[in-house]
Amino acid sequence: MRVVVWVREIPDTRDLIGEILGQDSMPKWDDWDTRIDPEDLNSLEMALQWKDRDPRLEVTAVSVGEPKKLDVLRECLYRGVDQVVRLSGEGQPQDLLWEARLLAGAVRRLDAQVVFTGVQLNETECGHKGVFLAHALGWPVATYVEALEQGELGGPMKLRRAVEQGVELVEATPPLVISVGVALLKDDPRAPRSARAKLKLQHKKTQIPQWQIQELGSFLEQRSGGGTRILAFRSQPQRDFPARRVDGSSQAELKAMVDELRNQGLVR
Amino acid sequence: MASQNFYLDNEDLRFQVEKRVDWRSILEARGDLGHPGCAYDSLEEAVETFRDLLTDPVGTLAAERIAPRAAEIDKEGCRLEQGRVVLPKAMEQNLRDLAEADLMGMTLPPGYGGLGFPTTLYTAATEIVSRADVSLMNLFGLQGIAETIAKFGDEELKKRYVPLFARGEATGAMVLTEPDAGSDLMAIQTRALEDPSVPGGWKIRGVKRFITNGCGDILLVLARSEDPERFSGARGLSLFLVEKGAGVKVRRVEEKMGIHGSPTCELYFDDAPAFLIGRRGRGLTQYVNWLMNAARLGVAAQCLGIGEAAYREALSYAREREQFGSRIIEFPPVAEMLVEIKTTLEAMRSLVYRTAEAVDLDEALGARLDLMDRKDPQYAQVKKKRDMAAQTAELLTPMAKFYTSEASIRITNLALQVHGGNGYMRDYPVERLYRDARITNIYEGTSQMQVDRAMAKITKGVLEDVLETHSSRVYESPGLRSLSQELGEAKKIFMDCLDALRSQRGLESKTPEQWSGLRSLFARRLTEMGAELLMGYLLLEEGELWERKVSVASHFIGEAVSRVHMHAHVIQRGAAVPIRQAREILFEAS
Ligand SMILES: Cc1cc2nc3c(=O)[nH]c(=O)nc-3n(C[C@H](O)[C@H](O)[C@H](O)COP(=O)(O)OP(=O)(O)OC[C@H]3O[C@@H](n4cnc5c(N)ncnc54)[C@H](O)[C@@H]3O)c2cc1C
Repeated sequence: MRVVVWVREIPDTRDLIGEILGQDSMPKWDDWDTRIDPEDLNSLEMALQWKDRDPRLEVTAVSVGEPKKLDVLRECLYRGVDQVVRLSGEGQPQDLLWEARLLAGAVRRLDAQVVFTGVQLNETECGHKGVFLAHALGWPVATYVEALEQGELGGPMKLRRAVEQGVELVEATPPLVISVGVALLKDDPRAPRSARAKLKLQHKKTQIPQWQIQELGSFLEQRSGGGTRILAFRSQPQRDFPARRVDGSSQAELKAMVDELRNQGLVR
Repeated sequence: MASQNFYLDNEDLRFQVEKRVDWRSILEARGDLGHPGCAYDSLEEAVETFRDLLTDPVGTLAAERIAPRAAEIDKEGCRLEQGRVVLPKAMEQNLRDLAEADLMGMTLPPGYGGLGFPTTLYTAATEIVSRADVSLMNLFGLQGIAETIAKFGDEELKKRYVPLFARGEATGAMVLTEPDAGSDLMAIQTRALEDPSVPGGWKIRGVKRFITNGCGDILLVLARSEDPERFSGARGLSLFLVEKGAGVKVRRVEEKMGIHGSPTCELYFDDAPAFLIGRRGRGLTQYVNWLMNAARLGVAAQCLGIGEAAYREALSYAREREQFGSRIIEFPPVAEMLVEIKTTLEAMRSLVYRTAEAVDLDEALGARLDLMDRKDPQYAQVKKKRDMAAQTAELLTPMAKFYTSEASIRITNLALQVHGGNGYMRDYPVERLYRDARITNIYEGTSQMQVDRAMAKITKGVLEDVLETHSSRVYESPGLRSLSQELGEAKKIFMDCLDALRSQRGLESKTPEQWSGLRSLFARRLTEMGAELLMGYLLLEEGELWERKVSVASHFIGEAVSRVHMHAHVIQRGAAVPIRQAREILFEAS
């Protein structure tokens, strides 16, 4: 059985310093390093762990567009997927809904039964990657999945979802979109694996197959969808919280602090 | 760039790997460069590959997985339960992570499942892993065990065991020390007896102690295989491979000061079946000698990791902590401690990577010579290069192990001092680093044994040759030129001391025993002088490649030169006849 993992390259905004917007009021994407969306690493890990348990599973990683800095598909090869495909979307309006439609075409062409996606970290988008894709495919979707409890090939799958009140066990039979929703803790045994040195040497120069939009042909639904384009961006100024230091060993200072907080109605 | 990466966040290490290491010579000697079908099409491609691998998996694993587990591993430690050694859970996970990333066979031949990388790259990986968890290095650093099998074992042993190591399915141990044979390995008593009825044809009987990972699957055991009456000392010792099994009992796991994640075992061999590695009687002189040298370089890399971790702890603490209304880093004595840590660290890093280069060159050219016809017109030239590399490696390995281990202890001591009382508390990682560092100048041969080895090469003139290749360089920049001059004067003082000792000149007449006592007594000072002069020159060269190294060099050389003067003063007095003085001082008037 074939499963697809949808991966994306996102800007690495962790250590940004200085001006975020360029002259044109747009974020300076080109100046920033990029990384594989960490949530996609989680979904990739879930797929690869499933494959570890059942080697008959074939994992294909798919992404849309040319790499800016980091080739996320190569990163997937380094971690052990069987195959990768890059979808080229030259000249198209590239929003998420559109990307999902394109991906749906590739999933049909690959004849995959299950798609894993991360919940999508990129803050400027709406976090609905898996839902959009399920909609484009006409498949069910399980969101915020944190574990694959059971997955026999061909049979129903049992999935653990993290919901606000606790965890929920759901059953679904493929075809199915699984949106992995928990940023796995670093020390969690499920935490995403690192690259493997041998695969890295092996795939340094592997040619990555490209599918043009025309090649998806009949697999691509003709109905329109998507088409928003970002014109400008305005970042919200950070609120400034002045900090003050209180000598913790002085009863008088502590009391003064409590009084002040009471006066402001911050504590009762 | 992302901060959670122990390679990418370390500019000095990156400088060494990406700008300084002479990869071209190493790769050309190994035949990895510039001909069809070899590992790399170009030097750039090779360096990019190395950088990529040190970034991910090595740097990411170290920062994101290994380092966060270090405190817990230190707290939990290893224990013995019904004859079985239990490692901390997080340590088991570390080993799985490293194996899954294919990092347990970095230098092993690709034909046996390894990655076949140069030692210099493995050294960088060792440094990074050690920074994350000092004790993990003791297991990660055991790749030399498998390398020894790959290098000296017969084909059957290689096929059976090396791939297990490469896949991370087996770990090993280096089983030398006995209760009465520590520094003096020639005194080993463990017996190996021929017995055609057991697998391997040999049986081992005896007690070994202080064995790192003695609970491992595959043990390399040094034992007395020859009749002590006929072949005493080292000539009677051979190296054996023993698989964990009924004949091997772990009798005890030591409770130690540091490196709690690394199990230190006492082993009892009760007629354990064993395979001979290589030839009889060569155990200590050839195979263990090779293995211990590899391990010494590993310890030097471990010391870099410790130093790096301690430096970062101290720096970030000094930037935060306030006293008398200012950050403590603003106080000159605190800043001085930090500068001392950082310059020492950079100097020792330069020394360690030059050592690794020499080891790689020696190995690669040696392998090439083995395949060459002696009549080949190039033979003599390759041999000359190999001999030079071998001499350099034999000098620099004990020198680097000695210098970096002593320095890592100084560095953690200073880093703890920067923390004040907090540094003494378990809550701060520097407390653990201080304890972990302390072993480094003891195992794989104490500092006293390292300087003894280095001294043998120094008196033979090897250091002179090495220094000469660096000191003859002429610098354009006036700053570097004057530093080079300062070093040149110090070098002369050093050479005078050495000459005096070699020619027994200028010192009052001594008996041969007194002479040998003096030589052994001054070995530490001379090795330290020589090492610091060399590091001074290395930093100068780096000043040409990276502007900020000029300041590093300037500080380091200033300190080093003053120490050269101090040591020279003691040596030139030459009055210390240690035993006589010792009697007067130690045993009072009785
Ligand atoms: C944590 C730990 C892990 C270890 N791991 C291993 C391992 O994996 N495998 C293994 O085989 N061994 C291992 N060892 C043993 C280690 O290599 C020895 O402890 C070390 O070589 C010193 O030997 P010793 O303890 O018998 O000390 P001794 O040899 O008794 O030395 C005592 C002191 O005398 C000095 N001394 C001895 N001889 C001379 C001399 N000729 N000139 C000047 N000074 C001298 C020494 O420098 C030292 O200061 C380990 C030890 C420890 C503590």
